[in-house]
Amino acid sequence: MDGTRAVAGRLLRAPVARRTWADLLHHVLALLLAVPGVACVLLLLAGAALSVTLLGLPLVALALGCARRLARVHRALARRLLGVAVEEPQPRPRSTSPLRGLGAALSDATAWRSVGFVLVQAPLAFVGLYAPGLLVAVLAETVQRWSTGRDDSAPGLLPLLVLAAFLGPWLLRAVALLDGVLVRVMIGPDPLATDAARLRRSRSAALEGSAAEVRAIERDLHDGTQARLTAIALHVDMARSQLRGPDAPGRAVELLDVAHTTTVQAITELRTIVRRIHPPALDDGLGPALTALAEQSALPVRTELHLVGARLSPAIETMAYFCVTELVANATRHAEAGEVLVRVAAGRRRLRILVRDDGRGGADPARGSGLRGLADRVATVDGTVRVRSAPGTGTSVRVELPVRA
Amino acid sequence: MNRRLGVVLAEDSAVLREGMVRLVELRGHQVLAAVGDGEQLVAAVDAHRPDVVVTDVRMPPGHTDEGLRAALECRRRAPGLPVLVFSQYVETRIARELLAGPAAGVGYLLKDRVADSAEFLDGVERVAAGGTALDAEVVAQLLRRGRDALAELTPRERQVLAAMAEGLSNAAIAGRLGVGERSVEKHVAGIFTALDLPPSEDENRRVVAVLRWLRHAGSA
Repeated sequence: MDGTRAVAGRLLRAPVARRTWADLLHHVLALLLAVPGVACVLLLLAGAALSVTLLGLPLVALALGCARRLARVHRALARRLLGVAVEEPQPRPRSTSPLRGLGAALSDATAWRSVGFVLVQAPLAFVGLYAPGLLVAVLAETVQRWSTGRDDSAPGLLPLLVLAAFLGPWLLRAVALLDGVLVRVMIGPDPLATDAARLRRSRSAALEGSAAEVRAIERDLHDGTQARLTAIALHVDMARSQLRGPDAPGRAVELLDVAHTTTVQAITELRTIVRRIHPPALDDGLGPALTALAEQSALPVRTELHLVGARLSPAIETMAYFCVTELVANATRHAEAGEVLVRVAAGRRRLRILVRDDGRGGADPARGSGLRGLADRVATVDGTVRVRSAPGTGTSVRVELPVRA
Repeated sequence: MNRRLGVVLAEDSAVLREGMVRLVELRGHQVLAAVGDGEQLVAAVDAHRPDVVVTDVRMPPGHTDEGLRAALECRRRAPGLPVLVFSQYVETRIARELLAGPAAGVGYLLKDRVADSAEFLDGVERVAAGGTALDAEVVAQLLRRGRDALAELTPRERQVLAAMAEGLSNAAIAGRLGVGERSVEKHVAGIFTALDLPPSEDENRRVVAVLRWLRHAGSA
């Protein structure tokens, strides 16, 4: 039967299968890695013991960092030798201040899970090589005893080798499977963090996608519909001027007047709509768009832009432009302000916007729907809005956005 | 009717381009070439040496300001070549770039004006004659920008200045504001004084004054 033959074939080929040697190599290397693993745990314990002094916590942080690195080596081994592909977990967030960095290192869940893995892995690596060897030896002795009928002789070399060759691979495989499970469960990416990252990615794709879509709609309207409407109005106007004169037929000119007026109104309306869909000023980038906005504002607007080299995604540029437009309009309409300051600075991760006026203050985000709407919109990209507006001191609104949606 | 003009037209929407060609020809002018992008515009102007260039700002391939770039290039190659650009939106940046060079023979109209054929043709002819044609909305934005200098002017002088910037004559301004031509002249003199523009013999002081002032307002 084919099935039996296939199983027999696999049994016979096991000693020379690539799989077997990869498993063996993995277990040997894993056993070697157990040494730094144990050192890492000892360092952690030492740090914990010393944690009453100042030296303890940095030691713990160091041990955690080492565990994270060891875990990465283990993941690489599992990927290359066991065929267990586990995604890298989120990197630890970088921090500029050393104290905050220490805090982040100590509360790094991925590193603590790595410590757990190292603790479990060290004995398993030992067992992983020792147990198959022991089992093979015991079986070989039993076979020997059974075949020779004697109890006291040491196991012969031949049965040992034969058994090791044909049984060993399956034992190595069993340990490899267990190792794979451990790697996946203990040092894979945190499932919650993975979900969050995936959601962020898909939201970002959706935002950028809709920004591109909106841009395309604006272009279609501009190049197609608006131009056509203008052409219609132009032709109506030409027809009207042809008809003027002593022999103009009845009310034709009057009707064309209406047609012309209506078309021109449609053009004007469409222009307003299109401008809201995608501010044409943004074609040149956020900086020039904000400069133009400041120039066209009814209030004097002072701009301080630090956007050189900024790599903002289109959705963020649109969002930032929308925020500044809205806030400057608020200052113009409600604040009785004499001047507005717009400061926009792009960092590596965050875009910081400040819009400050010297008006009467007293803006309340809880009451005005404008500011609340702004905060809602900014929140869709994990941005933040802070309003300071004590009566008589003007209003300052700070908006922070990620540089990429 | 004024003299017969040779016109080169650039507009990427075929239906609007054809309409404009018809309009210009109905008026008795000659369309030497009608093209759909900036590169062709520069080539057509080189080939035909027109009296005036009329171009859309936003054209292929990038759909940003190719028309303006091409118009400025034409003016660089043939200094003093009258150029009228029109666009869907008023952008002070575009007005500023247009007014940055020699001021005579420049126009910037909103695309909506194309639909008002008489006003549009007046603009083309005015620019071709070395005058200016700035859209009322362009002027409004540039004036808003120069608020401080304007603080000196009376509301009536401001109205007169805005009309002047559009390229209207004193008589036309008087007609629009419903006042006598003499009083417009008085206002104009007042504007020149307020803006500190001394009289000169040989230039069109009026155009130069308005443009110099607008340019100042646009770049401040």
